[in-house]
Amino acid sequence: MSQSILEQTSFSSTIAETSTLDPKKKSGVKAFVQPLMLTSLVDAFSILVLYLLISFSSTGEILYISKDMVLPPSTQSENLERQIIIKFQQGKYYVENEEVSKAELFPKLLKMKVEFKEKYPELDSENKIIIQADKNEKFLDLNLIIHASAQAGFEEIKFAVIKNS
Amino acid sequence: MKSKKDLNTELDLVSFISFLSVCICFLLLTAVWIQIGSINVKQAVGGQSAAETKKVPALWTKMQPDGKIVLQFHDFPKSVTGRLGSALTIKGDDKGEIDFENLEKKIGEILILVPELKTGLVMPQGESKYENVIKLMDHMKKGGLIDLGVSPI
Repeated sequence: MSQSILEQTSFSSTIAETSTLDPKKKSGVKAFVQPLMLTSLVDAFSILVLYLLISFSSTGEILYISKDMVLPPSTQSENLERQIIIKFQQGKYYVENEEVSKAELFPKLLKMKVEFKEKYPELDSENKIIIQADKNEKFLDLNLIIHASAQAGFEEIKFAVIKNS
Repeated sequence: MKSKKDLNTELDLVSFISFLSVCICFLLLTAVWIQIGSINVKQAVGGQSAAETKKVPALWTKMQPDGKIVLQFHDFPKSVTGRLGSALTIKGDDKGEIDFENLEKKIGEILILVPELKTGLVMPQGESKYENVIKLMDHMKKGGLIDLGVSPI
């Protein structure tokens, strides 16, 4: 009884046991607990982390989409960039999440154009707006946004869509 | 006598696994599963005066009730308009929806005749569904019309 119970039941290294250069396998000692091979687990974790990092998208931060809003799908869409967002939802207009009446839409857009340029000077946001609306809305409701943005000097419209590949 | 040195070294993976687990949890929680994009169009009103505007062939698509689409040819070569006329109507399907497949096919045929055609103008009606307006733009882009514009009512 030269070996203690701890030594007898202690974990043995799988790498050390399978080494061809200097095997460390204990003869006659039966381990109660088999050691786990963690290599495949680490591989799987690394692949998961890489996949999640690659698919990490920051475009979700640009728009806030409520539960009852479904954006129209599109296969020919481009990446969304930060611009002034005009939302139409349940009969109400919102400019940068601030509710505005129909009459206030044009002056608000003019004001936002100046404010946005000061706030984000690094962005190429001049003359561009994002329109966000549910896919079942009528074009008549969005027509007012297009008119107001044209009057305010916005030349390009970006319709927010869900990317469909 | 020299002591025998162990040739194999073992890495302590516990901290690495912990780090990876935290990374996975963070990335899963912050991941955005819905990819949002945008369809970019130009304003069809305002801008340059008519004299300044360069005359390039443009395809105007008028959305009509019952899924009917009228394709109007603007500044097309006379040889093409002589063959196709000044407009073409695409009827809707049995359900009264736009026949997008036929539309894309017709745009493809027009582009063969007018390869320089790059401009398209969407003219929806007040009652047109927003989804259909986007679908129409989508099919026009797919067909090869890069510069799209939308006309207010």
